[in-house]
Amino acid sequence: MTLPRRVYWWLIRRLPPGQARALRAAVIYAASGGRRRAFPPKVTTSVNFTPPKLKLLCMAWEVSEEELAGIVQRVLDAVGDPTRVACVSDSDAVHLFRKTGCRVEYVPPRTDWESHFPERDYESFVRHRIDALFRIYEVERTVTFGAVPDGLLWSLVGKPSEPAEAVDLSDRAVAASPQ
Amino acid sequence: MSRVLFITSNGFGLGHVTRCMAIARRLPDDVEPIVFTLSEALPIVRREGFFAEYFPSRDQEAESANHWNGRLSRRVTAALEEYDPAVVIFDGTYPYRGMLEALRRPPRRKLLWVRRGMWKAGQGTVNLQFAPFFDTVVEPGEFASAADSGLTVESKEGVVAVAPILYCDDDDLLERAEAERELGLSPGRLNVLMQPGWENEVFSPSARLCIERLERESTVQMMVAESPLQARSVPLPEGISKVSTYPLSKVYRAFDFSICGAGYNIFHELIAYGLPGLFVPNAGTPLDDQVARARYAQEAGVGRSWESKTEQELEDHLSWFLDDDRRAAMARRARDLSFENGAEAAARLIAELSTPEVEIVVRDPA
Repeated sequence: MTLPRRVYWWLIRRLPPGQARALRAAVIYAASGGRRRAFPPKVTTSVNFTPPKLKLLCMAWEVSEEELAGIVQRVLDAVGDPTRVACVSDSDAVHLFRKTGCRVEYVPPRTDWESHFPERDYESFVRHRIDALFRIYEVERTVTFGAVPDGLLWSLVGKPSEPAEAVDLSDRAVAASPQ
Repeated sequence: MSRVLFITSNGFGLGHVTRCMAIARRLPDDVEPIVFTLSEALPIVRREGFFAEYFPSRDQEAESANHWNGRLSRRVTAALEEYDPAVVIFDGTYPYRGMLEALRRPPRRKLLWVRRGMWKAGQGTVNLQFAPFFDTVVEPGEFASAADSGLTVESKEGVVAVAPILYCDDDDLLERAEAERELGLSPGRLNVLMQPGWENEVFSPSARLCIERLERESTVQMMVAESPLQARSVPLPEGISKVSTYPLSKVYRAFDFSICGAGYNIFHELIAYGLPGLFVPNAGTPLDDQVARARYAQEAGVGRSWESKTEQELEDHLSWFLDDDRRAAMARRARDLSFENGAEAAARLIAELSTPEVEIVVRDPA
């Protein structure tokens, strides 16, 4: 046995299990020219998820790119911490959110929906989508800008799983109009 | 009418989303494609007439991987419930945990992974572990496959190989005179298309070097491609003619050669349409082996590879492109080695899978 091999096995026997395992993996990886791994990486497909807490869920409907840019700026200025804001919009100007830290949730606009799914109701689609978003986020306040679709209102006045009267609207929805 | 859902990775590029649209636009009328993209190319997808959903790539500074995957899982689940696609096609090199979690839930749908090859040697071991989650892996063809030393070369189980996937067919390209008119180029000159996306977000010194050198050529008429994505657009020097159209390949016939990166799409488009390329490979990509691809193009005689980015080597390469005979030989060689468009075959496969009577063997992901 060559000296490097002797040193290798000496280390493998004496190192704590975790370190020995790491050393073995590294040596096998290096010796194979990066082609082999001693221990295949663990493949995980499950996600432990706790809904992010948002200070503000901002909804902007049928607004121009310029208006959306202004809304995002105002909201971020008001809230301070961008990671506690999510903006829901049917605008495809998603680049506005890049590197802002603010989350964006796109809802396909009415025109797209009606041209691709003419037999299906857009308002119900919006309601389902907004309901789903309320399951993703824990929302303190909601503010809306632009032409609010009925589906959004339906969602705000009550989730499908609970009666509408159980929801305190004064706490959930704050309506605002665009400038 | 059945539906298929394309999920494309990519924060701000066009590669994955273009490949998906290339396949989607060739689906038969009774299969409706929906594009769920992580790319800021959302407006382009809509403009091309597809129904699109968008979910942003992870902002590493703002959100943990766990949270992002959790949100993605819920959004994909909502899309599956809303559109009930028969087939889900993922185009990307790394299937996201959140996406897989949503796809694992019943009802079981047919899952395809569009996974291009040409990975850097030894890289992507983790990525390959995800193959068993998919029923089929569709591998878009690679012109430089002889130089491919990546892990996908030996991983062929469950893989369906198709020819290189391109957005446009030859017939979609404008004739030279028409393309020149559309771009405002004067006829009878040597037209050069520069696509300076090989270094992200900067107009690199190497690109500037090319421009300065070519400006000294009186016959040359140069145009710089500006990314149609706002986030990718690079501030260009003053006085440069710009083109920002999608798909750019539509106007390729206006040009005599191109200076560009060696990413999958540009590389295969140039060869397929017989446009000689001076490839400037981006060696910094995590998985895509652009250097090997560019070198292969030079060996095959369809282009040149400018890896050093030195002025001296540039001079040598440009002597090939500025010489009419040598340039014509490269174009001829590319046309001789050209290939069919694999998007058609991929679309056929997806259409077959989207019919309820087609059963495929589902492998145990364990």
